[in-house]
Formats: sequence, structure tokens, C-alpha cells
Amino acid sequence: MQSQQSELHRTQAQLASGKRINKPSDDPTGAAKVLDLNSTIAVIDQFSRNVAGAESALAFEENVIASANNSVQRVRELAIQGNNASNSNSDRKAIASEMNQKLEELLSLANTRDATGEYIFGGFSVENPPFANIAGSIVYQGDQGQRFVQIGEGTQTAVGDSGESVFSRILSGDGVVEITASSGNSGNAIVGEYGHGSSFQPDSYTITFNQAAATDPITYAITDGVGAAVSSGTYAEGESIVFTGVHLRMSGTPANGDVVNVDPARNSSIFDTVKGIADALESPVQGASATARFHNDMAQGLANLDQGLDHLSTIRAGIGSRLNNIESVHNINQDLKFQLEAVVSQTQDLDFVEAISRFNLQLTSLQAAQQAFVRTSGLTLFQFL
Amino acid sequence: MPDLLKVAANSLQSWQQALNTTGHNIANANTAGYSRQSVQFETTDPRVFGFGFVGQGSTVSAIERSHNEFLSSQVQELSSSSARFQVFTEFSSRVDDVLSGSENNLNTSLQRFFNAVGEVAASPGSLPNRQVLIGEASNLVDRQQSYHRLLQDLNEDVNARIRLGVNEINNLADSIGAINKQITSAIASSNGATPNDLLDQRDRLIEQLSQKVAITTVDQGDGSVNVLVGKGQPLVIGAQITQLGTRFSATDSTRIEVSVPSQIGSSDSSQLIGGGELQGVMDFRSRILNQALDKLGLIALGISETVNEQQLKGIDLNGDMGANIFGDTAVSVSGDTLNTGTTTPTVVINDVGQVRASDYALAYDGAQWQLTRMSDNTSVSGAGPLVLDGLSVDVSSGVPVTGDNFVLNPARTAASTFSLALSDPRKIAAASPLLTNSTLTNAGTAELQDLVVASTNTLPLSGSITLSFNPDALGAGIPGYDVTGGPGGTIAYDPSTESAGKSVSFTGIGVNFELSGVPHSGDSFTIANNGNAAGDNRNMQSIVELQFQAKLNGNSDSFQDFYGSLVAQVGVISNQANANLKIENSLLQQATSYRDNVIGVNLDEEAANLLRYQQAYQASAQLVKVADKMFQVLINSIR
Repeated sequence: MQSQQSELHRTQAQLASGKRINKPSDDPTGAAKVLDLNSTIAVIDQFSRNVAGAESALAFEENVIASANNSVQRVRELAIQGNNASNSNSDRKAIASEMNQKLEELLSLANTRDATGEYIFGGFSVENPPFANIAGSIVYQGDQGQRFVQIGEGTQTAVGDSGESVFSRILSGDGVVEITASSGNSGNAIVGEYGHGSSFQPDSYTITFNQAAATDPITYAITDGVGAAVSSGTYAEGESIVFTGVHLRMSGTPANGDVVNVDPARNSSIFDTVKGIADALESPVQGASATARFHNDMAQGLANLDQGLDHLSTIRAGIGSRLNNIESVHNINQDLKFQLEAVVSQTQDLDFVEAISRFNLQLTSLQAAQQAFVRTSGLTLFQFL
Repeated sequence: MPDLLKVAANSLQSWQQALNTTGHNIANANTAGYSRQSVQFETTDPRVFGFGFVGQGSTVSAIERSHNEFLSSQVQELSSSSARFQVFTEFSSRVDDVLSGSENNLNTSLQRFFNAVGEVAASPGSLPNRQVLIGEASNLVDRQQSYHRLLQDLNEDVNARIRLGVNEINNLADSIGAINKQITSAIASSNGATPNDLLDQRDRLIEQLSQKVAITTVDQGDGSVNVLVGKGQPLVIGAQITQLGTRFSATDSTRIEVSVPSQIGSSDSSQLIGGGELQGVMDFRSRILNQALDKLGLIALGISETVNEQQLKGIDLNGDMGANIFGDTAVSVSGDTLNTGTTTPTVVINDVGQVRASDYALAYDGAQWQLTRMSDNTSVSGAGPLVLDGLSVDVSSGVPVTGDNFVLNPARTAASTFSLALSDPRKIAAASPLLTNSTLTNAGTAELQDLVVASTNTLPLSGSITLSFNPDALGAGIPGYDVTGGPGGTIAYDPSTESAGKSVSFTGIGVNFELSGVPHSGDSFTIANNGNAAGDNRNMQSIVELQFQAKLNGNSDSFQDFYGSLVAQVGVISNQANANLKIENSLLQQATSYRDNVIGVNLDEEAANLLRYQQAYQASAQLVKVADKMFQVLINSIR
């Protein structure tokens, strides 16, 4: 009867808590499993909170970069408008002033703060504005840090990008090679379209134009970084100059001694590019060589702007793919969590139908035992004496 | 006629005795330990006549108790094992309850602590998040300490139970001795008749004693019984008692042991004593209590060592190097009270991941020291320092004497000394102390990545370190990086063969990193102090990782796995003990009811006997009447 009573109490406790396992000894392996599963579920919940934080941070960053993209797009329109030969100096000045406004706009976008007041493009340095205007040029003050959070078992995702990588690490020219006419040129030659092949050997090359007498053909000589001759030829307007994988076309007529530099692309910031274009627009243009210099500057600026737009798109695509990745990891996590919760429930929750019928059975057998005791304990021979 | 009267009188006396005994049986029908008595009759010596022998009636030859030595000793044995499991489950269910609290067990506290670490990692600049982390760390400390207190209380209960058990054993032994004496003198004075009720009493005391401790009994032949405990330690020899004692363990002042005064130096006889409640309590202490204390302690030790270690490698919101979050825990070292040497061992934990939840014995054999992991007897020996399981034991202080021994336990008291050492949320070192920077004008694809702070001895740096690539750094045509600042010198790096990645560690400065890619001449990187890094969570990420890494028990279990294994272990042992208790109880019930069937009083039987003896008594009385009538007839015929 005692053991039946304790079994009955156990069933009663199970019914009251709704759990099959009320202490580890009820089912040691089950209890350890539930403990393990519950902590995994709590870890997944932490991942979910990280996912929510990462998603909002990345979505915010993407918005900011989209706005920056729009600004740069507008700058490009302005630059093309300003590059038009029909503009007067004052037209260009007007365009330059709008461009300077766009520059301010870009700067304030790059110094955006999030809801908690942290600068989103400062790397690890989130308390101070990452970009500052120091003596007329915009300089990055942050660091190259990138914060990662864990969003899944062994999966981390970056929740931002440093301002330098977004706005300053933009390769100039066509991304590999940059070709610029020297600012001291006296001819009116303008560097047109150029490009590179796979055989390009990164080095600083110099193309020097020669014309001994006005009736002589214009020739050019190309030397590499240490002054060794690479190639030479006769210049013809509109024809490509080709050497070691580089090809370029020029228009106009270079003067004797004019120089065109061919360099590996370098990192330039979007701010420097915009500022360079604005400066070119601002300064008055007088004479053929100055006009050529202006067009060269504008062509260089436009090439760099296009690089900048490409770069911002790449960064946005990167953010988008991170968001996609976060979403899919999050979905996997949630699926896993539902599975784990089902296992936890299977392991520790009570089968009520089974428990209630067990309860009734135990109750009946206890009552039977009690009645049997009452009946038999009254039986003794003394009653019949 | 006188013969007939004598026969009748004898018979009346016999039946009266039988009725008395039946009455005694009925009266004691419910007396614990009483065994049914029955009257044995025998015929009196017949008288010889010429024609033969004439019976002279009967007398009572003995009053016997129904007794079965085998059944009694079976009940004794089963009482021992049943009481053992009874006490064991009583105690183990308390630990079971403590560990299982589903809402606030240690696992939950660990989880909440690491979640708070995760929140700080997600936004390292947030002071509220940091405050929550301090709060959760404090909660973890409280939980550990309250577990430790509960287990310590249980240890006190165990000690009290052993003292009480030994007291009871001694009292029972006294009583048995006294009854032994009474029985021998009763037998001697009654010409060999057995004092049944005294025997019953003694049997009952012996059964009670067997619940406390396993015993063997030896019949002396003179009516007295010798009682031996455990593996032959005499407790009662005739009327002579050897009292058991208790004392604190020589190597663990929190543990009560059973001692036997007769043995040399009052040696620990805990091993000699088995069975019964005493064994149950001691089993609980060694199989559950100490295990739980050690394992919980090891978790506390692991958390404090690993989290502190990482915290020291970071910098806080003020830009200072991190300080310990948790206070240092102490390794318990206890010397045997019989030591005569002056050595004071000091223990340093070098690698907490290797430490096991076990006692470690340290002993001096006259030539060298030996350090032994008690759980599986793995040992090292030498002149010291002795290194085992990430522990380094220095024995250089003082002069040892042969036979000196100590017990070390790195984890036993760790949970009680586990404490919080940090209260300022700004001092949580979420950031890494160094920053790397790849120069903006770098034209190549080279990268410097995976900077890891291995040692903080030289941090913060006195100045930044610059690595700049030089195709001829190590002589003409041998490329590498020139290093300025820090250790200086050059790092060999050949982009044509090593562009997939080369691990570099700075000698003298505890910094490791990886170089990869193809640099151009003059491309450079700098490693500098991290000045303003409210947004840096790199160090915190490393603490987040601690949750998933196997950092305990020979680097094989994570903190939570280890706790899970403790819960499972306690659960399995309690479960087994419960099952054993059920089996032993039902065996005991069976054996008891067999025995009671043999020795117990059956009222129906007694009722039948009552009628039988009454009728026989009446018949004997009739005999007197017949004898009387015969006598009257004879007298009247003469008159």
C-alpha cells in the first residue's frame, strides 16, 4: 500500500507540473538531454537577437550608402554638364558651387550616427566623426576595424564597414591603370579612353612626345619606372598607342616635350575626386592648353567618379549578400529551434492521456488493497469462540 | 491411587503451563521481535512392576521459542542493505532536487552570463549592456556560492549522521553486551534452560544494529553472541564492548570518519566498516557529495580562469588593459595531521583545461615526492616542482620527512571562494588592445590579418610597429618585411611561395598574425595601440567563444556540458539507488514475512491451542475426580 501510495504521489506531481521529468533521477539521460537542448535553444535565441541587430545595422548602412550613391550620381551629372565646352567660366562656377554642396552632403553621410549615437563608418572608433575637413582636404580619422557578431554556430557576420573601405579605398583610373596628362603640358592633347590587358606590368611609365620642328611628325617614346625604353612610335590623333598591355587614344596635338604618365591605379577617396572636379570647375579657363588641362582633369575626375559609383555598388552588393546570408542562417536557426523544442517537449512533457489513465489505475488498485486489508484483518478464530 | 493423583497433578500442572504459554503468546502477538513459544512435554519415568512399566504421566520438559537462525540472519543482512539504500536515496534526492530546479539551475545562470557577454559583443559601447553583464556575473557567483553552501550543509548533515550512527551503534552494543551477560548467567542458574524473552530482545537489538552497520554474529555456545562489524572488527565479545569513535579526517578537516580505538593510532576504519546506514551516508559522501562539490568547483574555477585570462588580454572603455572580472579562487591544500616535516606545498594552476575534478595526493617517500590523481592513480614523481594536469606543485619550502602526505583539491572549495572582482561596467575589456592598419597607398594585394594577442607583458606598445615590404629585405633577391619599432629586424616573406598565408609571431612581443597576398615594394602595415575603440568587440567575441569551447576536464567538455554530465551522473546514481532500494525493500519484506510466519504468533493457532489445552486441563481435573471417587469407594467399603 505504501509503495502504491508513493507511485500515486509521483503521478500526481507529474500531472500538477505537466512534466514527465521532475528531477534528474526520474530520467537521468532525459534530464541531461533537456538541459543540453535548453541551453542550445537559449544560444539560438541569442543568435536571433544578434541577427535582429545585424539586420537593422546593415539595412541602415545600406540606406546611407544608397544616399551617397545618389549624391555621387548627381555629381557625375554635374561634372558631365560642366565638362561641356560651351560653358562659360561663370557657368562652371555655378556648377562648382552645387558640387561643393554635394560634397558637404557626402561628408555628412559619411559621418552618419546610428540610433545609439555611434558613428557607423568609424571602424572601432565610434565616438568621434570619422571624416574631418583638415586644411581643405577630407581626412579619415577612424580605424580599419570591422565589428563582427555571431549569428549562428561558427558563423559570424560583419555588421558594418569602415569608412575608409567605403569612401577612401577606391582605385583610380580604370581600377588597374591610371593615365594622366602632365599639368605642365603646353599642347592641347587630351587623354581619351584607355584600358589595359592582362599583360600589363604594374610600373610607372612615361610617354614623352617629341617634335623637333613643326613640320616633323610627332613621335613618342615610352620609358618605364627606371628610365629604360619600352616602346616608341609616331603619334597620330585618334590612333591607339599600345605597349605592354596598355592602350590609349588621344585627341588634339601634343607639343614637343609634353608628357603623359601611365601609373598603376592608386586609392583615392570619393571626397578627393569630387573636390578635384569642383576645383577644376572653379578655376577659370583661358587658352587652348588650359582648356586641354581642364578637359584632362575632368576626364580623370569622371573616370574616378565612375570607379566610385562602381565601388559603392560593390559595397551595397556586399551588404545585400550579407543580409541574405543572415536571413538564411536565421531561418536555419529557427528551424533548428523548432525541432529542438519539439524534442524537449517529447522528452520532458507529460503524455496526459497516459498519465491520467495511469493515475486512475493506481487509485483503483490502492483502494482495492485498502479494502482487502479491512476485510482480512477482521478474520480471526476468536470471533467464533 | 496416590499414583493416579500424582499423574493427574503433574498433568494439570503441565496443561496449566501450556495455557500460560499460550496466554503469553496471545499477549505478545503484537510485540516486535517476539517469537512464539511452545511447551514441550515429556513422559515422566515409568514405574517398574513385575508385569512391566507403568506410565507416570507427563511433565513440561522445556519451553522453546520458534527460531530459525538462517531466516534471522537473512533479515539482518537485508535490513543492512535496505537501510543503506534508504539513507543514500534520502540524501541523494536532496542533491537531485538542488540540481534540477528547472528555472534557476547553474546551467541557466551560465547561459544568462554568456548571453549578457553576447549582448556586450553586439554593442560594446552600450553601458546598460555592460551593467547587465556585471549583474549576470554577480548572479553566477551567487548561484555557485549558494550551491556550495547547500552542499556544505549536506556535508554537515553527513557528519552529524555519522556521529549519530556511531552513537547508536555504541548504545546498541552496550545493550547487547548487557543482555549477553544476563543470558549467560540465566542459563547457568537455570540449568541450561533458555531465557526465551531475553533472546528475543537480543535478536531485536541485533536487527536494529544491522540497520546501522553490517554485522556478523558468532554464537559463543554459552548463550552469548559476539558481534563483529564490517570486515571482522569486534564490537561485542561476550559482555566486552569495543566502542567505535568518530574524528575528523587527517587530510580533510571537513570530513568525519569512523575510528576504532583498539587499532594503532586510532586508524581510520571507514574502509573497514560497510553496510547499513553508515555505509549509505559514506557512499553518498564519496559518490555524490564530493563529486558534486568538485564538479561545481571546477566549473567556477574554469569560468574564473578562462574569462579572466581573456579579459586581461583586452582593453576597457577607458583604454586601460583589462582587469580580472572574477576574484582568484583558492586551491585547497591540506596536510595530514600526522605530518612531521615542514614542507608547505604551493599550487599554481597553469592550464585550467587540464585540471580534473578529483583529489590529488602528494606524498614524500624519503627520496622524492609523488603527485597522484586519485580518481585513476595517474602519477608523476620527482624533486619538484611536480607538474600534472595543468597543476604545478612547488614543494621547495621546508624540509620533508618520509611519510609526509598532503591532499590537494583544486576544485573542492573553488565555488565558495568564487567572487566578483569588477563593479565598474566601463572596465569590461570588450576591445582588443591593438589595431592593424594597411596603408592607403598600398598598391599590392597583401594583407595583415588575424592579429591575436598572446601575451600582454609588453602592452601597451611603446610605439607603433611598421612592417614595410622590401624585395631585398634579407639581402639581394630575398624578399621580406622590414620592421621598424617593436622588435625591429626583418620578417622573411616570399610572395611567390607564401601568398596563401604565413603565420608570424613576434618574438619578445606576444603578438601573432598572418601575412598573405602579393605586396608591392614599399607597401606597409602598422600595428598600433588601440586608442579610441568604443566600437571594438573583438575581445568580447573571444569571451563569447568560451561558451562553446571545450575548456574543462582535459579540454573535453564545455562548461555547460560538464554541468549536464554532473546532473546526469547524480541522476543515474540516485535512480540506481532508488531501484536498489525498491528491490532490497521487497526482499526484506519477503524475508521478514517468511520469518514472521515461522516465529510469529498466529492467533488462530493460539485459539485452537487454548481450546485444546483447556480440554486437556478439564480431562486432567476429571482424573483427580476419578481418583477421588476411587478413594471414596475404597474408604466407604471399609467403613
